[in-house]
Amino acid sequence: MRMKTTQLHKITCAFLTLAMVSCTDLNEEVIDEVLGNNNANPENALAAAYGQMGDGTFVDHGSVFALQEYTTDEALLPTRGSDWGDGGKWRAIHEFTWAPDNAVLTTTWNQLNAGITKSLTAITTISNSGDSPDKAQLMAEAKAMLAFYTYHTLDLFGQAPYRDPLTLNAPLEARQAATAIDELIKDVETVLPDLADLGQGRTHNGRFTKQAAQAFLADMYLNRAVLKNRYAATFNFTEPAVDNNGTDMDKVIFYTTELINSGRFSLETNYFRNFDIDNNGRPELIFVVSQDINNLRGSDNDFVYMPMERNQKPSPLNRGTNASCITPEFYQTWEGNHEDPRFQRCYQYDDGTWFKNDGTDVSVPASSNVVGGNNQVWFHFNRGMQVGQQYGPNLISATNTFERTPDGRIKVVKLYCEKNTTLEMNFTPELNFDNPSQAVFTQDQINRGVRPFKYEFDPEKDNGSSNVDIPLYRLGGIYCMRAEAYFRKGQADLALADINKLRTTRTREALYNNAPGAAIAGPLTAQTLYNETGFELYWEMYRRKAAIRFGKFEAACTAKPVSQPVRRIFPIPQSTLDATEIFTQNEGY
Amino acid sequence: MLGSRIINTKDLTWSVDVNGSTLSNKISDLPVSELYSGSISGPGLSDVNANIYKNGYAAGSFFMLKHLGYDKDGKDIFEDKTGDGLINADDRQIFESALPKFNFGFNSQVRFRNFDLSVAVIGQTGGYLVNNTALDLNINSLASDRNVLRKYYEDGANIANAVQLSSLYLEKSDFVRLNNVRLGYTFSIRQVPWMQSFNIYVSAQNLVTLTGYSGYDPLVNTTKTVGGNQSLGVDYATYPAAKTFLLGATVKF
Repeated sequence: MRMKTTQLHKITCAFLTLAMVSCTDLNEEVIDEVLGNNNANPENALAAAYGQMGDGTFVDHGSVFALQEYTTDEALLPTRGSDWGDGGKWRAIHEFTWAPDNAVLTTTWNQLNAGITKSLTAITTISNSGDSPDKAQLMAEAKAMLAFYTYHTLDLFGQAPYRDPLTLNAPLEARQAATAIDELIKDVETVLPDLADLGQGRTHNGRFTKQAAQAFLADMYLNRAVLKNRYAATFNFTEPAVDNNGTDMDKVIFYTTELINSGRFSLETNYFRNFDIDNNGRPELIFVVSQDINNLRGSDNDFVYMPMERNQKPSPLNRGTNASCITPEFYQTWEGNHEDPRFQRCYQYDDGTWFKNDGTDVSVPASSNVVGGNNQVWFHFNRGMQVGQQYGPNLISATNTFERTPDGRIKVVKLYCEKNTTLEMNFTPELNFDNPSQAVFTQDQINRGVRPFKYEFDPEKDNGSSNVDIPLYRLGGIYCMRAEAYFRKGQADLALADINKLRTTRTREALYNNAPGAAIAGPLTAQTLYNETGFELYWEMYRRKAAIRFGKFEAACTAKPVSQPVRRIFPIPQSTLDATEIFTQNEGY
Repeated sequence: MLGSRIINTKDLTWSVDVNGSTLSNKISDLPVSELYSGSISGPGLSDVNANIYKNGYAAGSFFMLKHLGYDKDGKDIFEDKTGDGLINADDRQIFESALPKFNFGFNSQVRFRNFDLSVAVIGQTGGYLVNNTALDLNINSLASDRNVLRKYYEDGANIANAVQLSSLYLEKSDFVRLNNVRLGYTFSIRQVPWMQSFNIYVSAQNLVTLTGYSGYDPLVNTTKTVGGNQSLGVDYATYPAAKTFLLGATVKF
């Protein structure tokens, strides 16, 4: 018996050893099963590619927004006492000290990479699917999305990953901005005829239509010279276009004019209407990240949650988070232009009460309820730049309700910061950092900085969800692109006409007799044009690219030193360099 | 480990043993440039990690700004490692590891007639802890304008300082602990034939800890993994080890 046991042990050991050393090469021969990565239907695979835009990438302040805005005079996220230190990752983006281990860079890179991957999967899936009437259109959309994510990755990081989606086990490649930009332009021009016109084939402005592609092509042509020669002192904007038919700027003018003359889009007279909770399908919006509060997917309220103070409460259940603001330099560009309808807009309640936010308000009606569910009373803050002492409702924490006046209205009181209850909520244009080169506020300074409430705060669900569609291309921006192209071609008068079209179409609220904005007189200078694009497109992920084109990116700014051209792109994240050898680190990092 | 029965007489026996272990380690052949772990908790501390794993350094090494003191306004002074006049993430430096370099124990057992006394002492030196609890408590931030730690205030810190992980919160985890004491008395009860002996005792666990560490317990290790990488030596709101007193009896049949 003992003998037998020993032998059994030996045999078992032998088997175990064998089991451990065998199976090392597991190449499965697929006969008739459906592999996991091939079983999605084309619509689902394409929806995943679109969905990545709203999964942080273009809607969270800490992704593309951070890199396109916090690097410029339009925005910064300083350390505010106890908050937003976060190991210096936000400051670094504004102070131009980011390194390959910065978490904001890694997040952005990974999210854009996920978009590229999901687009490639969509192309593969659609290619493998059976014939259907809309197959060509779906394929065109998937390819356009691939180009879109790739373009943003090249713009920010100079390189982007690619793998041929139609070849099994194709090798991973790194595309380089200088050469890939022409390929992207060709790709999008090729698929353009297959895309639907907006509204056709069940499309809406959250999908890639012919019109979205035209806007995208204008954007790529406007920035092509930069992508081709990133560190140059000046850019050759008027070199021949990819198809040798005219110059880059001619192409920008061609595509923007197509959109402007299409009759499909029109400028809002109320500028802020573009960024309202119910901006779905509004006439100025060409391509958006479609957001809805539902259980199917997430959404993001960041672009207004970030600038709003914690004691600014749109409902008793909501608040801001006292984070981002604009620089004094950007505020200065608005000097003499505070009557511009895009600067600020007061809210009027349905009984005619205006919320002026200037200390004269006594109360507003409590008749407005949050849409879509929680039945809370809704306090509407004003839109645009919020400057100086702030006023608003007072939350009584014991009952979690707003303080009321004897006649049942919401009392408007002078506000103080939530995390420093004796500090007046005075949004000063000046930041006056203790150390001018470091964007760090002590707890006594957390009120500083002008806050743009450009996007409407959506209090429906929580502080982090929103129904606001985030515009990626809208007609206002198209006019800005065309004006810049005219300007670079030497047609400053046409550029000025486009800028004044934007200025004079927008009107102020009834409190100011719906006055339209004032036109500016020529001649248009580069500085004026740059300022004007800021007035139109602030906080829309446009500024960094414009700053590079206009030669403003290197200039010193509050808590930002004069920088080197190598900082025009970001480094490839260290974690990516550690994992693959296809990328070489960008110059200077 | 060394052990010895020092006294062995009919009435008195005394045995003692001591043990100790040293640890010295260095990471090599890590196939990546560096890994972070030990996520730090608290407002304004997102994406802040305390541990670094890097070739040439011990596992569980710490990575943070070096705190030098306070200026006349109570503002933090950090070492400007890069010398560029700016204090930012580039100025972080690698500090020694959480892992103690020396662990030791001491056990003593004395029996004097019917009394028995056993004592166990443990201790360690050469390791460090990040007192994340203290860092969090020094954040003067809540709507209630809550207090900060007394030491922070008395050292002259400005309580409005921005939140920053630094070596200010890096502390030695050296300690000596009277980990177990047991005093017993054995009755020999010959009248009861079915009972061989009857012993009553009092014992205490975790009775006294001598340490310079300012947190609850120098022997904690809060789980603070980042991306699956093990964290070492972060103390965040960990419930301290209990002090236990027992009164008991042992009956032998």
